[in-house]
Amino acid sequence: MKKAVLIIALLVGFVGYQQNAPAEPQVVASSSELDQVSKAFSEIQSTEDKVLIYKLFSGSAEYLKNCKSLQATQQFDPILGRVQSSYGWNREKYPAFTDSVSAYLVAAGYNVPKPLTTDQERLDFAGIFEGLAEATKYE
Amino acid sequence: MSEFLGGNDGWVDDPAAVESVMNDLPFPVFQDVWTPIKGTGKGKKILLYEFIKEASGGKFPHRKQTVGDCVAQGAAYAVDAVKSVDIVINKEFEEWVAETATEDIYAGSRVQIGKGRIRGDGSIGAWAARYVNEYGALPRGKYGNVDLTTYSGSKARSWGRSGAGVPQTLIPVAKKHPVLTVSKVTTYEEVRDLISNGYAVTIASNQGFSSRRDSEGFAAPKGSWAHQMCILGVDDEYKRPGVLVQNSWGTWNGGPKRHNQPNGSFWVDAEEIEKRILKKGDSWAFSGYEGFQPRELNTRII
Repeated sequence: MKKAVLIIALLVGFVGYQQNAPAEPQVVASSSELDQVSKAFSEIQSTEDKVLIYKLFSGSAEYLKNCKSLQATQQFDPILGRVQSSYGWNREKYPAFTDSVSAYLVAAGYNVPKPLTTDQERLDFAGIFEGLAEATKYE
Repeated sequence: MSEFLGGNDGWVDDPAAVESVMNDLPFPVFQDVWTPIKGTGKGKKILLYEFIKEASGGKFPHRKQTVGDCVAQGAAYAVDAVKSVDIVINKEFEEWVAETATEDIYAGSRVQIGKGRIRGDGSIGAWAARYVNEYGALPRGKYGNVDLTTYSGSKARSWGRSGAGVPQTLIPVAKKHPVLTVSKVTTYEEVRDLISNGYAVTIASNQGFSSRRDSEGFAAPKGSWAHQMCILGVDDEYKRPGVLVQNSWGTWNGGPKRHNQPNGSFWVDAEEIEKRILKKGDSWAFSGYEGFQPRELNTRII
């Protein structure tokens, strides 16, 4: 039941971002890893997929900033996976893009599990996804 | 010392060995530390097996022993319960990994703690409690060249021979993951309050039970088993107070169930569990498990 609420909250976040998405691609990246994410993202041809990717990352960032029910970072991936499934999104659809995101996540320390017990820990974790959202801004 | 006579159980009734173990424990008798939680379980229903299901992602361990290592099976269920409580209730930054292995607990209880004094199969509840407290317990998996992925009764028996014991390479790994406190329990009220506060209790006696549950999920005392099992729930709010006992013989019994109880389990009336099992003096409460921090997260998320 709790998981269902989380997924609904995340979906609401995505919808909110869909409504407020910018008109043109705006890439803001502060690291070489984010530059690579932007570059790989720009090579995706499908507009529909680009919009969805942006929604996934921006919705994740917004959700993580506000969600206090997660106790640790490793609890988020299963939720993201279920949201992706609900949109019919299959991971590794664009392998080069997946590679670039993975490299960024490793550089950002996402791969090391961390607790999410304080506001600062939640903001730090959300910041990882804000970076991805900035690197993939698209409408 | 009594000697295990064979069969599919394996608890050895040895009050002197229990007494010896208690001499080395900081809180050997739960009554010594009961006061802060006394009465807190009255009228409550706590189902530890539901915590195990949640922590394990629905992979509740259905144990089926093939040798007389019930002492380790019962202790392993208790470790599963306390680590699930740590994850689900206490929100500790730990992960389930897998069900608790039994071969090391069995061998360690017999050899590292019991010094190889038992001939044939079997062990003592106090020795297993002492082992998981001093040497720790591990989830199933591979540890270097030691493979504990799948239960092996023959491996338990082999390691449990006098002069063998838990492989030396495994001991430093296991010692990082001890059960933090173990104390002997002797009454239903203690068990009720313990379970309600997230402890788990492994029980041993010569008491057997019917393989047919009654209309309320209870099994009547019947026959004689030299056996160790685990209490994974208490229901003190029901008109018929009792505990949920989990056996390690697979799906060996049948009949009606309550509260979605696991296969192989049965409810026991409060007065029966106290009179027929707890008073035998080799039942142990476990609390707190030094668990495993989650491993690296998948970064291929898109």
